[in-house]
Amino acid sequence: MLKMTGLAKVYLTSDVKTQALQPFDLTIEQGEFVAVIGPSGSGKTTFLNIAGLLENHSEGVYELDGKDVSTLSDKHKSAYRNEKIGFVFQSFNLIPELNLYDNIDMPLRYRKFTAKERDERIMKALEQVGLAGRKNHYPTQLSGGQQQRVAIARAIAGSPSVIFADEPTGNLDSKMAQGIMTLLQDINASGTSIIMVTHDNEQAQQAQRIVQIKDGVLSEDAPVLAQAIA
Amino acid sequence: MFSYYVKLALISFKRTPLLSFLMVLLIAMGISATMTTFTVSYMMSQDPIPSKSNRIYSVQMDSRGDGYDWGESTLTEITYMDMQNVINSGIPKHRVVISAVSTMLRNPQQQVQAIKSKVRTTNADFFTMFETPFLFGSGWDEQADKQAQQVIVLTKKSNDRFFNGENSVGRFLQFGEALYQVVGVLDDWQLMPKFYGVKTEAFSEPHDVFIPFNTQIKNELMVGNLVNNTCWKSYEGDDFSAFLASECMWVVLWVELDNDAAREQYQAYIDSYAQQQRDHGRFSNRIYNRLVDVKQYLVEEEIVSDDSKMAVWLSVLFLIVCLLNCMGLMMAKFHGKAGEVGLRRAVGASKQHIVAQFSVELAVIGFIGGLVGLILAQFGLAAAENLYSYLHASLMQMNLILVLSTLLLAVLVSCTFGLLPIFKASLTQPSSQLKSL
Repeated sequence: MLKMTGLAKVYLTSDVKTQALQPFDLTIEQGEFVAVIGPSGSGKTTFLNIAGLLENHSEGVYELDGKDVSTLSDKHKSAYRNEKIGFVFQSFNLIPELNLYDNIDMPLRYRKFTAKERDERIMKALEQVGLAGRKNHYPTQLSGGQQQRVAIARAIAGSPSVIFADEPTGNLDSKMAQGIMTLLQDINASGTSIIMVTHDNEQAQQAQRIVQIKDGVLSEDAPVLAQAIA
Repeated sequence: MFSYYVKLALISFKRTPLLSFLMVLLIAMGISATMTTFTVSYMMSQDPIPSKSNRIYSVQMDSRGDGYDWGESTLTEITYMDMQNVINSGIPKHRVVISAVSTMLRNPQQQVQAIKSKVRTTNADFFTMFETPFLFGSGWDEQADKQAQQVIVLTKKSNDRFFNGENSVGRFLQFGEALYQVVGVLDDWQLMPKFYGVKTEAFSEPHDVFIPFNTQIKNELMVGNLVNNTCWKSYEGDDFSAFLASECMWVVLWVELDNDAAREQYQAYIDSYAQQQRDHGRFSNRIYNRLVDVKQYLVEEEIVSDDSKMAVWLSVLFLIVCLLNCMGLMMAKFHGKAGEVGLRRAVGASKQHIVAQFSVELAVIGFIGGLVGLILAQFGLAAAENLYSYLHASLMQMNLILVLSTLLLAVLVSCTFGLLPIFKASLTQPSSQLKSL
């Protein structure tokens, strides 16, 4: 589903060249739950931005569903993000002036769904995250954990093949965090790939694979089960 | 998507009320100033009689003969004797003679004090050719012209003044020392500009009353300063008949010619007349006769003054200044929405979606600005009406076309001046903004 070959990222300013990600190879199959761990500034978010088509890579080849993304126009990348990718962010990134229903509706608006189809998808996503009764509430009326559930509902409403989660539990207490992890696992169980950036080793252990990035080097990629045996 | 974008625009309006209010206010101020001046200028330059403006002609005959080179310039008036000599041609459908006098008028039964009034002297064709609406009665007939009867037509305002708005047909009005019988009362007459008389009165109310031109002649009512009177050659005697026989040019003549053939025929007719006069020693300078249709007449006589056009341009400059300030606010507004743009881009909005969303937002702000501008423009027009009370009130009123144009202009200029802010917003890198929502 996701294949990166010799992928690297370099930030260039007028006189400074920063190698954010060293060349690496990575393949993630459909349905996998992958945790990306590493210290702050190691390049995790850069990796996630490239994988989520929010940034361009500098070198190498990135194929998403067999398509080399470097050949896509900005418009087609937007369409790819809309149809194939869901995002969950640490700070939820909900629009405070829109109620839950409209927040989840946002990505669906950019697809040619009928109003009825959008409504069905929104309600299904809200039910999946346990907030169907609060569709008219605004984000500020919810707890952090509930807001993150709304963000997850927004990510899954479009039935993406992969969800990129950037420290989805970073702003939550441990109880809420576990609730979110359980929800992500449920989503993954239904066949959606999850790629989650986290600081938390305990949460990373709940993934099927762990990818470690340190100083821009993708240094480890082993199934959790194999690591546990080792 | 349009309704979705409108919904987002209204939400955005509520999100930043002060910024949005300032933008609306700036647009409204610029639009109101522009539309106030434009309304006056537009109404001034309207085709006053669109159904026949290409068929009504001012008859201009240069009978001057002092050898002076007048160039291309002509006068809109002709001499009384030339008018008399060409008036009976059967070529025009209608022929209208125009002059004016002033007099004291009063209702002999009700009023002690006479009121100084402006009198339009003309002939029966005036009411037909210029399609004047009547509240009571009608214009006089050709018989009244021929017999120089003492009949009179009142404007609605004069009828209100002298007869309290009652149907005054058949009643009498004291005209100086004589009594004139009322045959008709005009209804509100929207002809604007009133091109048929002197240029300076084109935007004023019509004269108070109308009487037959021949009655003016018969009663020897001298023209005052209500008409242009060019006497290029002195005349002997100081009686009225000497004035009528003189080379003084003071009579305005309008004709209605049905088609080009009639126009050419009538041109040939007056040229032939001028040639005959030349054979008798008149028109010695040149034969230079013109038939000028209404639209051309308005241009040549500069009925719409340059001052009016200048005011429009100044207000357009003011609008641009307002919009440039507004553009700064747009930049600030969209900069503040960078987080939202980043998020929308991340979840699948293309640059085109962002451009469309913000264009609709600016169009909504422009529309609201246009509505407020319309209200402010009404105040502006009311102030202009007070300031220029000598101008006809209808100049200060927006018609439906102007109202719709105001809204359209507000939307268009808002979107045009928002192009740069919108373009910049569309370039937002989603990855750099996703933590700033």
